Amino acid sequence: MTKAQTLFDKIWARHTILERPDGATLLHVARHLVHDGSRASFGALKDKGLEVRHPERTFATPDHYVSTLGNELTAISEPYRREMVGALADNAREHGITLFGLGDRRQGIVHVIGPEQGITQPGLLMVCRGHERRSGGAPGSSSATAISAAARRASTPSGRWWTPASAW
Amino acid sequence: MDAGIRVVIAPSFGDIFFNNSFKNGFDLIGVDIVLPPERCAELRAALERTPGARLIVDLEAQTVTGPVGINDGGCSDHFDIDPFRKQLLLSGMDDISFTLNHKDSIAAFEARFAKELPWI
Repeated sequence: MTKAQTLFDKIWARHTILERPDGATLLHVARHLVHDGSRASFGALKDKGLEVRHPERTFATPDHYVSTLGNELTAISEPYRREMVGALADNAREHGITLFGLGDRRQGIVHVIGPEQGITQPGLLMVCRGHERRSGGAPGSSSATAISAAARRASTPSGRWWTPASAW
Repeated sequence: MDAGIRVVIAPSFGDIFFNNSFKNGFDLIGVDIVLPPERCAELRAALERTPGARLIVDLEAQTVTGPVGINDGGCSDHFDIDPFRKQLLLSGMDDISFTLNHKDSIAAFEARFAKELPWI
């Protein structure tokens, strides 16, 4: 009789492309959420001459550096942060990624827009850069739970995980 | 990385930092080396006594030597590293270049995934 699998085990196995000798697993990322802290990653893709592998599965929204005073870019008083938000829009356009930008009523906190816009679906492996670890507690859904579980597993030496270049 | 630091020696590392050090390598690849706390303190004290002193890290031999001129270059510490990660570092590969070497596996996986779970 095979060992019983948890929901997490099943989702993990379903998304496993290959396992490396050092214990890391190459996982298929079904949906990728991107926020305005991503400029350096897009820069790294450019430096390496790489494209976003699946722009149709990638969704972007600015949430870190937006102003609470208004929905315009000019409402962000710090130039550096304004540029980060502007860069997200530029990169989304350049790579063909769906953007819920400033002024779009779907724009919001990156954790929230997933379920809100129906991007988050049960059984998917989803990634949001910088949020993939223990704090991954997006509002209740199977996939959010999976991310959260992945984060816990990722913190153990035997269960490191990493994502393909397509899913920065 | 941006400051040109390629090696960090410490008694321990948080796992996020440790794993990220291996991933940030776009031009430079970082290595975290774990040595006993007392040895780290000795190395730090030696470097503080002699600003500009150099430590030599030999990834292939997995040794830290020096600082030259203090231990006459003869003192080496052995460090552990995962053999696969060592191989990646020595060949100048990072996680992305490793992944790009498996394009066929990824394409085959994606084709199967799309067939089995077409609604995704």
